[in-house]
Amino acid sequence: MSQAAVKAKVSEAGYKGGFSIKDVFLQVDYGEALVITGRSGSGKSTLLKSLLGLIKLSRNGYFRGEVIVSGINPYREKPEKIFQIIGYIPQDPWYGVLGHTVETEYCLSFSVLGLQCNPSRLSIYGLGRLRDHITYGLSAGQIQRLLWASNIDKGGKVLFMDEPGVYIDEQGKKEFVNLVKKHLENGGSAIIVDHDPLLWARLSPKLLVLENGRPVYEGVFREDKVPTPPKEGFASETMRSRGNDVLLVADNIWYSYPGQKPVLKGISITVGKGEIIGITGSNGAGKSTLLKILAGIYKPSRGVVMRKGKTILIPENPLLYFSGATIKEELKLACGRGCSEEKITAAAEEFGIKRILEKPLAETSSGERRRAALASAFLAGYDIFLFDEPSGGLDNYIVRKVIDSILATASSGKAVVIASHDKRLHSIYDKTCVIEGGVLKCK
Amino acid sequence: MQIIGALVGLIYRSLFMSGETGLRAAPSVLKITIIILSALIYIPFYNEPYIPVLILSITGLLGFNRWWAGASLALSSIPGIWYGLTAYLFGFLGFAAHISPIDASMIYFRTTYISFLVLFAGSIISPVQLSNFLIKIGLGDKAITPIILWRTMPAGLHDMMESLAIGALKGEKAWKRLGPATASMIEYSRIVWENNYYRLELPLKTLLPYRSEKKYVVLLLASILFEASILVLYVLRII
Repeated sequence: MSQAAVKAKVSEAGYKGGFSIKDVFLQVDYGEALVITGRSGSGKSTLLKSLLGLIKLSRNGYFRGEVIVSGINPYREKPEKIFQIIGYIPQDPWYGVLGHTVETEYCLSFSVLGLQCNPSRLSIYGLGRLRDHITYGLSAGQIQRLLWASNIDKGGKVLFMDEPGVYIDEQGKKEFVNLVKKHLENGGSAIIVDHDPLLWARLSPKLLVLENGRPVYEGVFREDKVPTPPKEGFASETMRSRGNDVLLVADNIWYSYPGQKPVLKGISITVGKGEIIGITGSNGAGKSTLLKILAGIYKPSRGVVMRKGKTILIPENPLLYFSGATIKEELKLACGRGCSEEKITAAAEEFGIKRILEKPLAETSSGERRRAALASAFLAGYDIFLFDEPSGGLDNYIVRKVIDSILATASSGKAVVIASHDKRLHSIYDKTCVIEGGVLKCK
Repeated sequence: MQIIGALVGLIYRSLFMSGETGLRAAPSVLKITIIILSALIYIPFYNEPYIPVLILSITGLLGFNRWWAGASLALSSIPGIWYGLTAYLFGFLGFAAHISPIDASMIYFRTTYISFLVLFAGSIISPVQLSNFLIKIGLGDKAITPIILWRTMPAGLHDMMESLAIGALKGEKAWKRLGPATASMIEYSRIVWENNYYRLELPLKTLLPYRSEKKYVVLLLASILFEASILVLYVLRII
């Protein structure tokens, strides 16, 4: 094939009166992958939406330039032609699902293209036993796998993926890279937005690094071009002092979703003052469920949870956390009456959201929401913090700040429980617990 | 906050807990028949309205599970209790004709049965069958609607429950939290539309996979036979 899979000249695109990307020129050939990386808020998702022609649908979205995907212009072509050639996995996977069951979601994409689906292929993606499962009962990682399945199998030549592995366990990530490799070998191409471009290194992709909406590097994959935070600034483990007081106790917790087998079996966990516990496990193992039980949102089928102090949970989808309409309003509410403007500004500065303080939360990106939720929770000063994938979609710089804040919080005698697949957080755990077959094993 | 959360939980368990399983996995003609017969059976048992409630509970229990039966009965009892209690209280206070507690309980059972039947009908509707029907009659462009409804309603309720629960953790009053919780539901629909724009612009063309399960076909046939027999006996004035 002589034509490029994707050829784009983005003179300017973004949101009127808001963020924009400028002067991005790229070309991706068939059999080739492009990894777009950069710090949170650098314009990666905006660029992806611009390439897909979806930016025009966003509030105040605009696009100036030209994009050709597999020979067609997504801004001018009919949806059917575009859908035939693309696959799109959005950043927040739960917003990419239309079907009420796993099988229905998988087959919808085939149906609109007039194709027959083969749901038995779901087992390739680790979803074989979930074929009849309702989609709103899936974990974020399982949803992400479902989106891989439907987008790859429907036969789109060009895959557009926004942080496609953020909620996936390590083994799953490797499996996915293999699937994309196969897709490239079959003559497809992929454009991947990722904070962790190293994951894709073995595909020898092209690399595009964005900074404040402008490209700062475009070329062959080079590790030294990946934005990495400076060494200094990391809060030290030694700063932490742990008390003996216990803030959170869960004893012999069992939990089953109605009509299903137990997802948690006899889990016991104790979290003391100043302690940070990490919970890992494969997708759908029950990590988020356990956090909700610890928070008191779900009642266990058996067992007890005792909490000493105010508890907060930041869920996988941070949009559900907020009480205010704008970030500033949210931080003010969290900070409480009589809170100084300086304190709010300092928290916003810490989490890199100072320039978007007045932005309505509904218009923020996924990464911005997560940072705002973390800033709000830390400002409110709870005693027990439960974080569900707190680093999802955040760059290394912000993750370092999140780690600093978590360590500082723990140092002040708070208890922290983190459910995450992110290796970047592992070093701060006092104890790492794995949920396997519903049972929690800590070391 | 807890009351709202509990109500949302009941709706969730009653209507959206199962996918294309249970009584949904049976032919449409049987489902339509059982709904019609269950509506008609109200007549012979007008003075014993607890009997149709019992029959429908057993069908639901066997066709779904105890969580469905419990949640649906609890939910349909709300209007039942309201009508039964207000009728009794209005009579007691002299605003309406006086009724006995037994009469009030009859009102309760009759109202509960009607709501229960509506929930039962809602629970056995298969969005996939509905979509396939729309594709077959040439309305492929509308065929995605039932699927989206059965996805967005529970997903929205689920998010709302989670948002309300987090509000409780933050120490907020329920009414203050309803705004952000609703905003998150509106936001959900906007982002879903944006992320699925191309799919949503296209009609469904091929039928979605659907499996009918023998167990539930037999159950519905047995229920139909049972209810039809009762109606025949009633028409013949044997009962």
